[in-house]
Amino acid sequence: MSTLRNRVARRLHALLVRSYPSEFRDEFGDQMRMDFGVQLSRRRSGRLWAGTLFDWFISMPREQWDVTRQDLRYAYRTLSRSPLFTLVVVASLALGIGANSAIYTFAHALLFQPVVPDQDGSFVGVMRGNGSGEPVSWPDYVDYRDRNQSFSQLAAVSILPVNFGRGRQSDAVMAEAVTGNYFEAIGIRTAYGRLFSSGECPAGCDSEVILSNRLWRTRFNSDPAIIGRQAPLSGIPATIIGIAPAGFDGTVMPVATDIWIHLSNQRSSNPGLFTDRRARWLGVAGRLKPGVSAAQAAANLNGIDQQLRVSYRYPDGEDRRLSVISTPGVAIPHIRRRIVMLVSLLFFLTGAVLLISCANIASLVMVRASARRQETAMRRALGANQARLVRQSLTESVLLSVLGGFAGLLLARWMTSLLPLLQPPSNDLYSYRLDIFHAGPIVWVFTAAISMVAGVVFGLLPAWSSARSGSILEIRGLDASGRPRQRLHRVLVAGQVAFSLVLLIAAGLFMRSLRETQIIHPGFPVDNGLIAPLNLNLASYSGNEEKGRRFFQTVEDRVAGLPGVLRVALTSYFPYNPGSPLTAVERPGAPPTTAALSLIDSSYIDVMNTPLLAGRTFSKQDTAASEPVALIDESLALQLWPDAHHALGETILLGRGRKRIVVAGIVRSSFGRSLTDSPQPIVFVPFAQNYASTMQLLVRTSDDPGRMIEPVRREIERLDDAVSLSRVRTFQKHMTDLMWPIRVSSRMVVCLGLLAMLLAVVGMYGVIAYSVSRRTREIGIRMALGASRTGILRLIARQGLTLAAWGILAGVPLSLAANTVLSRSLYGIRPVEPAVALAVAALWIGLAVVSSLIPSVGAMRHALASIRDQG
Amino acid sequence: MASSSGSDPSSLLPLTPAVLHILLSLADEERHGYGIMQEIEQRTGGEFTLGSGSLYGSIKRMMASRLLAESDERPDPALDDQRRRYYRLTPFGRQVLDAELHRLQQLVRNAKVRKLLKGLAAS
Repeated sequence: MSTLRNRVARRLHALLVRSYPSEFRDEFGDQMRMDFGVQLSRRRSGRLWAGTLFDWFISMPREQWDVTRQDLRYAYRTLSRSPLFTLVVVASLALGIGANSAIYTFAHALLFQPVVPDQDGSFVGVMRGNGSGEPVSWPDYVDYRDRNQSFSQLAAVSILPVNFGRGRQSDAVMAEAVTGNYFEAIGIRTAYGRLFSSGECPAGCDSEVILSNRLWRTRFNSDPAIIGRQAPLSGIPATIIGIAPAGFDGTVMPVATDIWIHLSNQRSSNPGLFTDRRARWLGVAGRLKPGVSAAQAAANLNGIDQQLRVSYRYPDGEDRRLSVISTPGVAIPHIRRRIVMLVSLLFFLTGAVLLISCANIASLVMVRASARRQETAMRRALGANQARLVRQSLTESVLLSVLGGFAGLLLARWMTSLLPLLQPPSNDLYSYRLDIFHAGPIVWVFTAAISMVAGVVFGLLPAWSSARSGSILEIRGLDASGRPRQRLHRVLVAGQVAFSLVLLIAAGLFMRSLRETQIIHPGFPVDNGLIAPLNLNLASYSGNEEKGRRFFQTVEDRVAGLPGVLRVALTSYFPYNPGSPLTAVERPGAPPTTAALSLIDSSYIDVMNTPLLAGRTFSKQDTAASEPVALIDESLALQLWPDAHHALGETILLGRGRKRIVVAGIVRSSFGRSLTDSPQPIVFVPFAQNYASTMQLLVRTSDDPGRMIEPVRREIERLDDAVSLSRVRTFQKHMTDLMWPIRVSSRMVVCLGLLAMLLAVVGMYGVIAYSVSRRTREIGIRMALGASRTGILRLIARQGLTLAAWGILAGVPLSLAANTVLSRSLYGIRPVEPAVALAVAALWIGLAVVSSLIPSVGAMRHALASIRDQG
Repeated sequence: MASSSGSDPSSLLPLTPAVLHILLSLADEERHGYGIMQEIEQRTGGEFTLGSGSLYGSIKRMMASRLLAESDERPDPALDDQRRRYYRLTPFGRQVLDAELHRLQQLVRNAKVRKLLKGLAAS
């Protein structure tokens, strides 16, 4: 029994001994084991183990640190002997690590930091569809809210820009239109004043506003007396009832909310939104009841939804599954989803850059290790064991990566400080919370972690490979084979080429996408056009359609009379404006479908240059008294009838009231909901037969439209200075603003792509120079035997070309996969763009030839001398 | 300590308790590691003990500082395990031990003069 115990004890002690550095173990390990064996027979085992463990705890770290210190000193000496190598390695690591840290800073602020106070994770977002994060319609929301047993509060929110103030003094600010229980669901109180009442909206609640602390400070000088005061909101007098607490910027990060209004506020301007189950425009989030899990709540909501599906005949194919997600960060599901997509894309790209820099450094380290082969072989011959050499080499890599990490962190800080430069051009619309992006301790931890991982990744391969050297041939500098190492080296370089290919092709696609968005026909001519939004939700026009129509007509007439103006038109919806109103369209007897709805006057089709395919456009003869008519676009006609031309003269049923309307004409499908979407079905109805109090005045000018902004504004102001005019802009500006995300992301991807290429070229040059240096003798012999210079160059270039070819072969399918994902978010881009792929491949072949020629020219110069020396 | 092996013994002072005890235990004869551990334990009545990790760590550093050396002489093979290694003081090690003992003696004398060592006043 006791022999068994002794044997186990010896085993355990041997494990402890193994944790000491290998040199120490080689020197003293046997003695330590023997000492322990003797003590085992003489002492009580409890005391023995206590003493042994205590001793281990004190002495092992000290011995390890001793060796590490030596290694660090050694690494410092060798690195400072080759400053260029150190600089290149640290710089490329810093770029890889810095880019990743910057993206992490961004992701952390948006996705992992709670936006609302939530200690127990009971604040959740409700997401529709299979992770697609579709918004929810109002009637559906009301059913979920009233029928569920899982939420103590279920709130809905929608964001919209509003004008706060009067005329030219008005500011366009970001508003969250929220249900009364929104603040309760989040669990915050106002700093001053009160919240919305949480039940049904009492009379007057639709004119109440709560201001953000920031707006209150900057615009009202932190005056608490403004509670109860009136301030015009999009022209309507509104009452300030409360001030949000400092630091609360709403739930739609990174957009900072300035104002909260009651969702009922939308009812007067857009009553359809509150009755149409197909109009999905709300984000839903809420607070779970104590003890209810997210999964239970999701099951509960899906049960309710199943009933709705039956009652309201939702189409079968529609993915309506609801999920309840308990996550900090941006809670509004569809916004969160977009951020997640963007962040994943960026992580994918920066991760590829980091991988390339690691592979690059690994091959640089290997090249250098080969230069030190003789030294390594000598050290092995003198008794340094393999573990020790691996450790030494790893220490060097980790030291490099720590330096790279520090530089990367500085770089990341600098990059995040550049974020405000990316402020979207439409900053008259939204203010972004760029203050949330700062590198805190978590980002440091992240950076430290990726530096360590990078160090080990790029350190392990060369360390392992260099430690295997040590034959007597290598000590004499004669062994020229090094086959396995070269193979590893080549795999690394081909991998780098492949990854940089992915990035370069992506960059090419982005550039192409940018060009295409700039040159494509966005569905209407963008030159010489001006948009002036006219919002008549003013008290003086409220409910007075006749007065409103008179105003619109007078504006149109007066602006049309201005010198330099060719034509004017009115529309309720301008292409690509956020939030196009949707309506249900039905062919009698067929299931309903959804289309955008736009109220236009008789000159719109002409001003927007929309091609008419069949029938007629609207005219002055279409009046409130005449037969209701509509124009529909080709795609909608095809959805409703097998042949688009069949639609002409047919009747459609529009909206919830299923109003009967005759199709008077069919126009070409011109634009989607955004630049990246395919054209959306749309129904145009005459403004003369339908009324909206918010219209866009479109102006075609004969000359630079920018110069017409002032005259048009003046003309409108003369009619009524209460109409807010902060957003009169040219068509061109409207489009440029829309393309901002593509512009910014394409610039980023192009930079990353070029960076990746640079790194990979350095890597390829390294591997060829390395292999050439090993073959100097062979080259010399070939030359001595009469091989021509071109023949030798061809020999070496073939090696570079083979590497590039492997890289290209691996990179193309990889990039196809990546681009399939990219193309979903890019305008006019197919995942396969042979021209871009060919251009990038050709570029790489050229680079491979150049990076082969430079070292081989040098090698030929020394080749003959080398065989003389070694012969 | 590993790095300082200058010829001036006082440059290494004061010694850590472990180093002092190891020097003391080798002052009269050569010993192997376990012998040093045992000698220290007996001499201090169990008040000071050294674990093997700390012991060999100290020995490693003391050899680097040229205080100790491995002994070439082996005891009677019948009594000996070939894997055991014996250590001896170098002349420099002895100088350092002397210097340290001198320093301690000086210290104790000072304490006596100021009547701080009441229990030992008679000695």
